[in-house]
Amino acid sequence: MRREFVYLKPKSMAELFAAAGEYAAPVFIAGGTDVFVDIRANTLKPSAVIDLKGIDELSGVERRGEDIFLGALTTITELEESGLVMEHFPVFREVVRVFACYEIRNRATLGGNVARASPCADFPPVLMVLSATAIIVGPAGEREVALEDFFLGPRQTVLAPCEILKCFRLPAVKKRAKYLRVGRGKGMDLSAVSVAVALDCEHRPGEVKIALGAVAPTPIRAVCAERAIQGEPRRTDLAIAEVVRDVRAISDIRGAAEYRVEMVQCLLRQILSEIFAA
Amino acid sequence: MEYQVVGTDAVRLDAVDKVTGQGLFVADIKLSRILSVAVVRSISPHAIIDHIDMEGAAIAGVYAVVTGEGALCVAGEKEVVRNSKKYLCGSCIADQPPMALGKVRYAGEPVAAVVAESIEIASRAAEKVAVHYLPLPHVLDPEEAIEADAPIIHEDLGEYRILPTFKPEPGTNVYHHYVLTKGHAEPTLDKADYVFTHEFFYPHVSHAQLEPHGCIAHWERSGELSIHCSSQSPWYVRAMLAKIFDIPYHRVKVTVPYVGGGFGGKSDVTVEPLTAYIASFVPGYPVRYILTREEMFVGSVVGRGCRASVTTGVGSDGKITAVKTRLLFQGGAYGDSSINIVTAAGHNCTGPYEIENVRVDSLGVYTNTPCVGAFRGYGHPEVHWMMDRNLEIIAHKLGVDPWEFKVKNLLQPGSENALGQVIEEHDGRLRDCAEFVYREVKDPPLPRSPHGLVGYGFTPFMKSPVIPTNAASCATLRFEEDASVTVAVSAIDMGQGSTTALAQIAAEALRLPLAKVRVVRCVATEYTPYEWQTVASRTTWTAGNAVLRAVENAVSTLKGLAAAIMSVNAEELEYDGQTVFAGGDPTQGIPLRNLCMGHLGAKGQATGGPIIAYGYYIPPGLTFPDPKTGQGNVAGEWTFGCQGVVVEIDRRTGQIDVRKMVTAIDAGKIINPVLARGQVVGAMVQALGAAMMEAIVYGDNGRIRNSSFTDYKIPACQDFVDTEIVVEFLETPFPKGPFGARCLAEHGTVGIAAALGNAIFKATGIDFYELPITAERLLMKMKERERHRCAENLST
Repeated sequence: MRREFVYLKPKSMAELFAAAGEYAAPVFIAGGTDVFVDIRANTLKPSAVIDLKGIDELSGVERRGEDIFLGALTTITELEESGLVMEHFPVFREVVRVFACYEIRNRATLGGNVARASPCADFPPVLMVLSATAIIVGPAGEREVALEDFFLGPRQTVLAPCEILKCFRLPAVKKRAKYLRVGRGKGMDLSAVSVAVALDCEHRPGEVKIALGAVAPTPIRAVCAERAIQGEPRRTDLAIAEVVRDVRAISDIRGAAEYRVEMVQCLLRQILSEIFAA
Repeated sequence: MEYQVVGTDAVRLDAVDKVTGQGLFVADIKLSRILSVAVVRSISPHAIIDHIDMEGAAIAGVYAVVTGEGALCVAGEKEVVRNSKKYLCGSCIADQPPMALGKVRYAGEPVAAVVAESIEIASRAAEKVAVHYLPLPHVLDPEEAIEADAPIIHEDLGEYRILPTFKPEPGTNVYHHYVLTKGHAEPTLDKADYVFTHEFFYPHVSHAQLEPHGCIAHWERSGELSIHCSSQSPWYVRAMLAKIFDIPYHRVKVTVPYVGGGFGGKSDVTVEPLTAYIASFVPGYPVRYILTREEMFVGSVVGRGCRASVTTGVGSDGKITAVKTRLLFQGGAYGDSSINIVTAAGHNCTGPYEIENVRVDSLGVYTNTPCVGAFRGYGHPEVHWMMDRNLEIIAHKLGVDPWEFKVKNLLQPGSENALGQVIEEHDGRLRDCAEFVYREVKDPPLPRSPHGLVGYGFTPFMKSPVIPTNAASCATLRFEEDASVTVAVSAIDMGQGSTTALAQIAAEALRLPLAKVRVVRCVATEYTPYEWQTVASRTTWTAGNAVLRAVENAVSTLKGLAAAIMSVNAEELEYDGQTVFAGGDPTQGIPLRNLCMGHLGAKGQATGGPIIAYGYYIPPGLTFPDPKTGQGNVAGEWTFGCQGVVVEIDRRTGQIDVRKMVTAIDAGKIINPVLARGQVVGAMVQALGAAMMEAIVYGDNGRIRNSSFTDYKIPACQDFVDTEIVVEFLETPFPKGPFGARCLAEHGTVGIAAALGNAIFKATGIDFYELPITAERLLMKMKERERHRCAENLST
């Protein structure tokens, strides 16, 4: 369905907050690759669409002290092409490889992938296991939230109506991380199940973080599986058994709940064996 | 015979236009004063339309708000126009109004439309049309739709205009019941050594053409109706519109520019009656309607949808003695576009096997779903999925080798098929095709992964076109002043390459280089000659023969003219592409260029005139099926072949990797090998993709749950990038075909799903009866079997 709306592209935070205040429930876009699908499908009917791409402060990848900051407007392609990112977090390459297609990777942003709060989004599980935090900015200033606390439900986050994601902070800690997901074919698809795992080799040697996508109302940390594994390869079977308790899968067009449970276990087993083998 | 042009890999004549984006499609056509349409579609699968509030939609920029009853016209004076006539479309069974009238029969049916100066205004206004429904019980599955207490979808079935060869059952949801009998199936089954019954399902799938359906309709002030559309069947569209709107045929002009994929889904009529109906309320304005991708799932046609049950009798010698089959087609809300699929599937449902006793009941059943239309394969993939899987399962149950079992029963020259036709040598080398494929697949490679399970399957197949007994193709051929040639046909090149193949046929027959021949790209009923439809894989055969006859007539005219000038008998003359001559001496002949526009003598005297020739072809000897047995000479041609698939399955995930796909087909002389291969490969990929991941999924509310490419997955290039693809052409000349060419187009779709199913069994021991075979379904079946085995082990 074609729909009319007001389109604004502020050039600064100040302009942004001024503009956002004028409309009831404005929709923010960066790449627009998800928002416009929803507008077309009539599931999103915004009166105003505010484009964030004109705000420089939301862009850029840089190291400050012990942390690496990824601007919310960083496109998936920029992420892939950033030497700094790939040096510290080569796991992102595994996400990029399964993420949509060239055209979408050129437009879609890391911030959008997170802020749209799709249960099956690819980046949140990886960001979670890399201990990322989201830096949020609003009229009242900035605040920082751990990524696992960011999501409230499908399409729901802790962002207040006038708040946006500014950037992500990732500790520049060496981790052995992997991401696996399954879709319906080998071509472009949303994930039906995804699993990210990171093993800390430096800061807290042996600490394993596990996160899951598309098996709960939001991307989640698999706390039961993490508790079970305790960084020990021989406890893999226990973790595989325990991860079922983390999953709250539903049946939908992309897969039945039982299938998702099977696949979470299957992918987790595969990742753990690879991570511990390396 | 050595050919110069036929049999060569000529470059497609449409390649540059399409690769550079210069090709003109319906959506590219710009006309002044053109209006746009937004269609309001039913949210209910079956309901009485209580009333429709249109007033709110009459916003600025709107010209008319249209419903099945009439329209609110707001272009000048506000005026309510009511139809005096009840329009019903359909050539075999006239059961479908262009826009819902009185009731809706599927979710997605057009209920109203807004015509406005822009698509934005039309869309905004369409949201303000309020339709009030009185819901009726609905039925989606054909098995449920034939139950005695099923809701009746067409109360007026007994009153529709219907062609005599079709058998509706008024008072039920059966709009066609085709019966085929050969011998005595039931008594033979009673006596058979072994009897097996199996049931299969092939779901609805989408054609997913790259170019959406679209139409521009313009009721000109002169009273003529001008249509531009993306269609495989401009003459059929013309006939249908002339009939329903009761205007003379010659005052309807249908023009088809480039078509971006059809696969059968643009045959018959789709959006044209709807667009013409809407446009009739704004005469003088061209009205454009282009479907969105989402609308293509409900606003055009879907493909397949078949529940099949087959009972097979087998003797202790491994010969099939009898087959009894019931096919239930989930035909959707209206039957015209699928009614012949019901018959075609009935003709072919024994597969390429010699079976003495056959009973087939093939039923087209109305369901509250979008209409089914032709889809690449036309009933054949559905019945081969059933029959070949059935034979494979029987072989396993009997403990015999599927290869031995199938080969023992294959049709061969001299055997009689289910229709009573006797197979002849020139029908093609089925056994050789099967042996080729079997050799290619039977020694599969080692798995690539330590978790891989490898298996292979093969499926011999046959296909015949189901066409009216007088389905004609025509061609005109015109010499230009420089002795180059323009050929006009109304066969649509929707990507299959027919323009190139027909040009090759014309060039070969005219003994001209290909560069001298052009086949017109744009088909227009105003200018190009009659063609029944571009369907049934028959263009190379029938339009090719029409071109050949036009060439014969052109050459005969050339010779007649030369004979008059040279004062010899025309029979004594020869033609070599450059000269018409006598006595075997071209140097003494008359050059083509001095004949093709008529001859000019030394003193300026003109003899003859510009040469334009005509040819037509209708497959000879076709008859209606016998009303009692369903048999007869109803299939104009048979093409035989075999397909094979090798898969590797990840036992951990159920993911299916297609390692190899093979087709061997006896297609007669291949006119253009690279295009022929492209056809077969494209068909295999489309059918295999469908078998592995496609199915239209209906919610309980009757609405499609996956009507976009987000959740309707079709194969992408990544899916088969590591697949070895083998296509082998056997070339037994077809006596009735141009240069011996046989039908070749849809055939690559026919056996592939069954071959996949067989390969999955070979790899995993799991039998599938239902498509698609997704990784999810396969994994869950493997897990279920694991649990079953664990339970068994525990109990022992």
